[in-house]
Amino acid sequence: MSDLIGLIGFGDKGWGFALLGGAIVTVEVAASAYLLGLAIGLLGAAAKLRGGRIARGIAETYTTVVRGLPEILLILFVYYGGTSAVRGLAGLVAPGVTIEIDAFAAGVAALGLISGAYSTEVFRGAILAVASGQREAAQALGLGRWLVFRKVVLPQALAVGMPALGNLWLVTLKDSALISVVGLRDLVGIAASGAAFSRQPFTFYMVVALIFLTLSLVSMLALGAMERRLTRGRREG
Amino acid sequence: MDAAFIQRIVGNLLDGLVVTLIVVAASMVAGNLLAVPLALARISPRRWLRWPAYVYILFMRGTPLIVQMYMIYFGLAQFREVRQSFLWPLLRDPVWCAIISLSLNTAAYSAEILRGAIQGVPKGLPEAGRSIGLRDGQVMRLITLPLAIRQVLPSLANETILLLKASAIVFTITVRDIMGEANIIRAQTFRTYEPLITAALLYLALTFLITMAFRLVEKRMGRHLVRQPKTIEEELRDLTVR
Repeated sequence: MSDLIGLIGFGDKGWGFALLGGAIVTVEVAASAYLLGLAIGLLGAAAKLRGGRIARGIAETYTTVVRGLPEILLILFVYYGGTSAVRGLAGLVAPGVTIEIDAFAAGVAALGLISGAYSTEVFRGAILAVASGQREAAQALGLGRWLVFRKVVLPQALAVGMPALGNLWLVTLKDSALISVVGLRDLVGIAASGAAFSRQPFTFYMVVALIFLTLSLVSMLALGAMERRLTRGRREG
Repeated sequence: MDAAFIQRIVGNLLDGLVVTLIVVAASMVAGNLLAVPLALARISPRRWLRWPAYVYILFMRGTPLIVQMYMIYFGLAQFREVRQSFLWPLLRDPVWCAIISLSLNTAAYSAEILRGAIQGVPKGLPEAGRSIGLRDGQVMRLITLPLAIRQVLPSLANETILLLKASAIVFTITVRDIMGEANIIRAQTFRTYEPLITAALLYLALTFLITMAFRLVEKRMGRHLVRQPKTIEEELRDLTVR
């Protein structure tokens, strides 16, 4: 037991601080990707609900393709494909320049594109679920389109979509474990180093799993509280 | 892009396709078989059955699959007992480890779906079974479980697609599935787009095929739900109403 604490603890030979740093990177990637996904989701839902034929077609293709592909394939595609695209562009401007795409940026972009495809569907459904009378009543009061959306439609849509959006956060958090594959020093990346160094891979991956589990459980508590707050207008009694 | 290169991509990726199909099919079968006892344990009145099942499902659903897979493939070798056991030939084989971890993972998700279906069976049906003298085990085996499983079948298509997508990570433990073959070609040739886009098309085609196959199965299983052909009276009534 004391060996274990020495290995993963915060002592001078422990991996505690490294794992903590990895956990912070993981949460940063997941949170940035999730926020990016929400922004894409709002745009995508707008394109699907209000867009012209072209915008609708693009949004439809985007959600169908991204949701049909393995997450890891998209991550590799964005990371390596993005690197060679940027390198090609840079080569045109200044030949001989080597450019590496940041694994963090590529991971956030890829995971954001993935969660954006799902949140597009969530927002679309949730906005459709808001009774049209709500929108009409607000318009009758003289509110502008943006104000109607921001003050009347969005809050109600969020309340409807909250469970699905909360679930999407949990999925994005777990998917973020995949970006270690392109070499990011996230929780899984750090654990791989620790496993190789100490020859105790099970211990390290178990600790990482437990950290993920803790993050998931804390998230679930927070999401439950947010859901209660967002739906406070419709509780009975 | 030369013809030889395309030929190599397609050939290797089709080899990978076979591996992907084996891994997904085996995990699908094993995972769902495991899901039944897991769901039953999860709703058992006995605490020593319920709690382990609860913790297992929580762990499997609350942690990333890739970490679970690393625990099995890289992790288990840490223990001498495992290395000396008769299971070692399986546990050091990447394909077996991939199938084991995907099965254990999908079993947890399926068990939760099945649990919902079991609890959703109308109370009167098991009660009727008990009233004609069936024991608890018989009620579960003959009445509740068959009804619940029929409820769950439509979600199986979705789960299979999720499993197919999840299976792409097995290349990280050196399995040469579709993704693995594509990644090897990418690393060897420094060409990113051709292998990855071909792999993407294969995955999309598989998703499409799975959707179609399950639609056929559902149609066939739902035969008894199709309405009988209308009688002449009904035809006439429909005509007059319109």
